[in-house]
Formats: sequence, structure tokens, C-alpha cells
Amino acid sequence: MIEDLLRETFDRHEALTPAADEVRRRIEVITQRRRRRGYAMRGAAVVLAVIGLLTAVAAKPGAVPGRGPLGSAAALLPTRPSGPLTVLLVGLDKRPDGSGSADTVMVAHLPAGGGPAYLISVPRAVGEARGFPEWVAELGRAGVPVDIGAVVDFAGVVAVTDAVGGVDMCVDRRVVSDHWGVDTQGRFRSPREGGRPMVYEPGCRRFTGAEALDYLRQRRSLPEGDAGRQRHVRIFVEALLDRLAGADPERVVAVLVAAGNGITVDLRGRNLLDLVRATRGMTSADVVSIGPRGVDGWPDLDRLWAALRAGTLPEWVAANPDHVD
Amino acid sequence: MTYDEFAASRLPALLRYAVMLTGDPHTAADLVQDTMVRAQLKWRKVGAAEQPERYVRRMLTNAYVDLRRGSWLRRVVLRGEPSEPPPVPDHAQATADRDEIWARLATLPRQQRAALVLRYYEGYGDSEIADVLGCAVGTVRAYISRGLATLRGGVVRTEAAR
Repeated sequence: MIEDLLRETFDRHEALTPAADEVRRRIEVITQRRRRRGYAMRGAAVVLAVIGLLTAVAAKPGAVPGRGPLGSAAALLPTRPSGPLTVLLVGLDKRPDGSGSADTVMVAHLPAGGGPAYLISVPRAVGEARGFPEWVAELGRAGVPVDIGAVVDFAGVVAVTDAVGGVDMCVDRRVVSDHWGVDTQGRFRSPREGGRPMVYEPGCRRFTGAEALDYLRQRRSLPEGDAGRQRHVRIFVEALLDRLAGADPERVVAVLVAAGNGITVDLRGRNLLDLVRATRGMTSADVVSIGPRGVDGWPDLDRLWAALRAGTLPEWVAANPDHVD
Repeated sequence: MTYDEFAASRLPALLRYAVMLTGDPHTAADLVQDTMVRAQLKWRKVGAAEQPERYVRRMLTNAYVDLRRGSWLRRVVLRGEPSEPPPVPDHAQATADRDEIWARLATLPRQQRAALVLRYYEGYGDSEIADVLGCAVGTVRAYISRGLATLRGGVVRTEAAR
């Protein structure tokens, strides 16, 4: 009975279907545009560039996170500086003894002259503890100069996420946590020690800081393994960006102050106003997300960095659709 | 099959499918548009698949499930195209609005709605639905039974109110 009603409802609503030729035309326009070099979009920036800028401001003695020169200056500035901007994002896996190595590494790049921002996962060095300075040197050797760097540890992820009131992420496949579980009394017990694991069911919802962190740590339980994990981390960065989209500088400062020692930023001599300009009005829709695929593995990094240096990332993206989300 | 052949023959069907998933023509058009752009850019791979339509339907459905609230509006604004006027409810839409089941569909989690559309609009079997959604057949059955229960609940309440 309900099945028949449902079928009738669907049939009745076929009248809402838009005309195919108009859609077909728009598809052609967009495809051609994406195949050409760059396309104009306003205000592309990366959330951790904002973090970099504003953590530095907040840390300055006498800096008042509130209505101040930052707010009014941002309002007057044009939307992008002319040069390219590259941000190195390092997620740190801190060990109990205080040591830690780069666990997740991403490069965020804003090309010169406008266009989308690129968020690129980079493979960790296997069997080698490599920290932030080593990564800056490595990228420098590859011809990719790092303008700003940010190092975020587990606590930082949790704090930033909670400070924005959680992030919206969509789970496409059921994930059973390797790390987070509870015992019969509901206290934390690792699944490896018999705790009942946290499960992430398919669907879109808001994640708290603790949930986001745990979700981002999953690797073995994912069908694509590490490639899947890298994708989750990029999704997280975009989700965080969306939560900050349109936020005024004061709010972003408050968020960053909340992250405390969990985020460390290296401004590397950049001009503060360049960074403010670079961070206007961006959302996840302005981000092109690049990373490994389970079967294909990592993209050819030499070619990728070459495209980044030459400003031909749009062509690289068109030629490597499997590595683009 | 070339991309053009595929688009010419399958675009109307994909648009209808997207309308059933999203509930409104503008979001549907946007969803199909984005999916077909990606399919066209990687046609070397898609066209070589055993069933290109199934591949594209999977892409479309995943995009629907991942669709972020408000992302449609941002993409329209950021493209710099002349902005479309907001969707105006016409007579067909008004009739649709009075439809309880259609309204209830909008409250379902997206995987459940997709499963119902694939079964009761596209006529897919459970294993085909599982293939599109990328989940187990048992999960498909759970989505369908939960989805129908929600729709049924709405209808019963309406009848009881009379």
C-alpha cells in the first residue's frame, strides 16, 4: 500500500524535472572552463592560513582580539594578493614520551592571480621521524617554497573543532573505530583491550572534537586504508573552513585562542596584511582536494610540484581526475 | 560509447533520478551538472566501464549523499553567472507541497531516500541498489524498511487526524 503510494508520488513529480538541453549547455561551458587555465573565483584562501595569521596576532602582547585594526583593515582590502601562497600543514602524532613525528602532511596552495585553492595530501616519510623543519627543507628542495607553516597536534584538532561548535562531515562507509571504545560502564576502553568500539554510520552529521579526532585517526578499518584516511583529513579541513566561512576576524581569533598550544604557527616573515587579504570569504566550494587513491596510490609528485611551480595546476587536475576529490 | 552519445541518451533519465533524490529541480540540475562535468573529464575511465550509466549513477548518488547544505547556493553565487531567481513555487509545486509522502521523503536520511528512489522509482533490485550505494544488501533492506516505516508513520498520522 505505502509502496504504491510512493510509486505514484514519484511518478507525479516527474513534472519537476528540468529541461535537459539547458543542463547540457551548462555542462559544456563548465567542462571547457575547467580544461582551460584557471578561472576567476573570489577570495580563495585556506583556513590554516587564517589560523596562522590570527594566532600570531593573538599572541602579540597587547593584541586585543576584538574590534580593532584587523577588522577594519580586512574590510578595506581587495580580495587577493598577486603572488602565490603556499601553506604547509603538519598534523603531529605526539608520543607519550613527548617525541612526535609528522603524521599527516598537507600542502595548501593559492595560485597567483586568483582561482581555487588546492589542498594536497603528501606522503609521510616511512621509517623516518620527520618534523616540521625537515618538511620545509624537503619541499624547498622540490621547488615548493613554504610561505606559512602550521603544526597541529591531537589536542589542537579537538580544541579547534569544539571551538567552532563541531564540524559537519559525511561518512560514506561504516567505520568501526580502532582507537575509541567504551566498557560496560561507559568509561573509555580501547577496542584493542575489549572495549565496545565507537562506530561511524554512513550519513552526514555534526562531529564533536573528540569524534572528529578519532574519525581522522582511522586507517586500518577503511577500505582504502591510508588513502581513505588522507581523504578524511582533507574533508575535515574543508568542513572546518565551512564553519569559519564568513566569520569575522574576531571570531576566528577566539577560535584559535581556544586551540591554545595545540596549534603552532610559523609566519616565516610574511606580512600580516598579505595573509588577511588571502583569507577573505572562502568556503569548501573553493577548494580542490588532491590525494592518493587506494589502487593507484600517490600521484606522481614530481609532476604535481612542477605544475604547482608553473601555475598549471588546473591542467594537472584535468589530467589526473582520479587523484582529485 | 562516447561522452556525447552517453549525455544525449542518458541525461534526461539522470535528471529525473536527481529530482527524486533532491526534491527540487534546481538542486537536481546542479547535482547532475557537477557529476557530468566530472564524468566528462574522466570519460577515459567512465566510458571504459562495463556499465557507464551505473558508474555515473553511483557518482551522482555519492554526490547527493555528500551534498552539503547550502553548497548549491554558494556554487551558483561563486560561478559569477547571472544569478538565477530563487525557485518560485508554481502550480505543480503547490500540488506537490500538499503531498504528504513527498514532504516526508525530505525528512529521511539521504541513504534511505536514495534506496527508496532506486527501488520504487528506478525499479532496481536489492543487489543493484547495494552496488550503487556501495553497501551490503542487508543494509539496503534496512534502509528501505526504515524509510517505508517513516513514510507509513506520516500517512497513518494524517488518517488518524481526519
